[in-house]
Amino acid sequence: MRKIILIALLLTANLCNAQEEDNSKIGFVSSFQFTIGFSNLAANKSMMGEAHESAFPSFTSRLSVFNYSKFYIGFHGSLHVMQLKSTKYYGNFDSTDVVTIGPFISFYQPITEKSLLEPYLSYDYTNYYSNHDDKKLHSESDGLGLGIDYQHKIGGRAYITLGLKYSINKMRTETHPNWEKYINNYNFMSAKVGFTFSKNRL
Amino acid sequence: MKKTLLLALTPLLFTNCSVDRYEGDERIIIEGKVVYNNVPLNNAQVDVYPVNNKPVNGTIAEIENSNVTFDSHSSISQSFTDNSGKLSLSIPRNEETDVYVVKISRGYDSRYYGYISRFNAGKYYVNLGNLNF
Repeated sequence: MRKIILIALLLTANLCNAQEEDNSKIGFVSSFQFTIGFSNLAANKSMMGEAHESAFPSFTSRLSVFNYSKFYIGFHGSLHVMQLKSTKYYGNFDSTDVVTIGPFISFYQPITEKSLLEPYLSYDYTNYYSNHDDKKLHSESDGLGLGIDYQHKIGGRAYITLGLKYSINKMRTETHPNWEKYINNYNFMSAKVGFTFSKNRL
Repeated sequence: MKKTLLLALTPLLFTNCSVDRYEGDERIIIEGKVVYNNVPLNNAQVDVYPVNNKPVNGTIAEIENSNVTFDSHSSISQSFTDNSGKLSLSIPRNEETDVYVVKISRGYDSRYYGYISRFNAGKYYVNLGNLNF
């Protein structure tokens, strides 16, 4: 945990303290974001969606590795904990820890002198860890994330960020064909607020 | 120092041994109906337990409690029968056994039915039929 915070602070400091404007269209490690918010909102009728409560807090971060003009690619990660509300199809557990990582691609578009929109696509590889006393369940899913961030410049290279994301996930579970849709298709919304630090945007 | 470390780690060793692990890569769907004197039994509690018994066929029948060798006394799935006595639930794959029993409880009375195993769950689906409580 300390290492993660240290890396986040170093990246933030690096992006905030860059002294010279770089007019090159190509950039490396030029944007970093961390946010907090809600997850598992408006989940579809599915085993995962019906079994779990909405999650708060959900921590997310995003680091762009390479950008060309307004296009960015990089990696993202998120972490949240969901409480169980129905054990019927999921299993007899108390809570589920959810860890997601994957690459993303984004594009930003200024909308005023101080604000921009940044839609993005992400691949979400997710691990689910459920616990109840001495009982543990591990599951995995592959997902596509469709998100959009609104960013308002608050000074230097810092932007306050509001975002929405819709995640379309398929659990890596083999089951009876008649039940596959209910067991495997897991979609939900997440909402977040936080900060983005970017070079050469507005 | 070594003795202190050994004493401190010993409980952890036992704790890790007793963990009941499941993987979500497979899920068996279990359906059936619970009847009492040929009348559907509603709101009966349904629990599924992993066991170490070795069934020789896929027949589902009532089992004496004393004949059940529990792998874990913590149920993997819990549900209740609906108004027509029907039960429906799913269970993930236990890492140590692929045999399970179903426990039906109503008040202080409970009965076991089994076994769910590779003999009857080959397509990740088992219909228990009518379970006479």
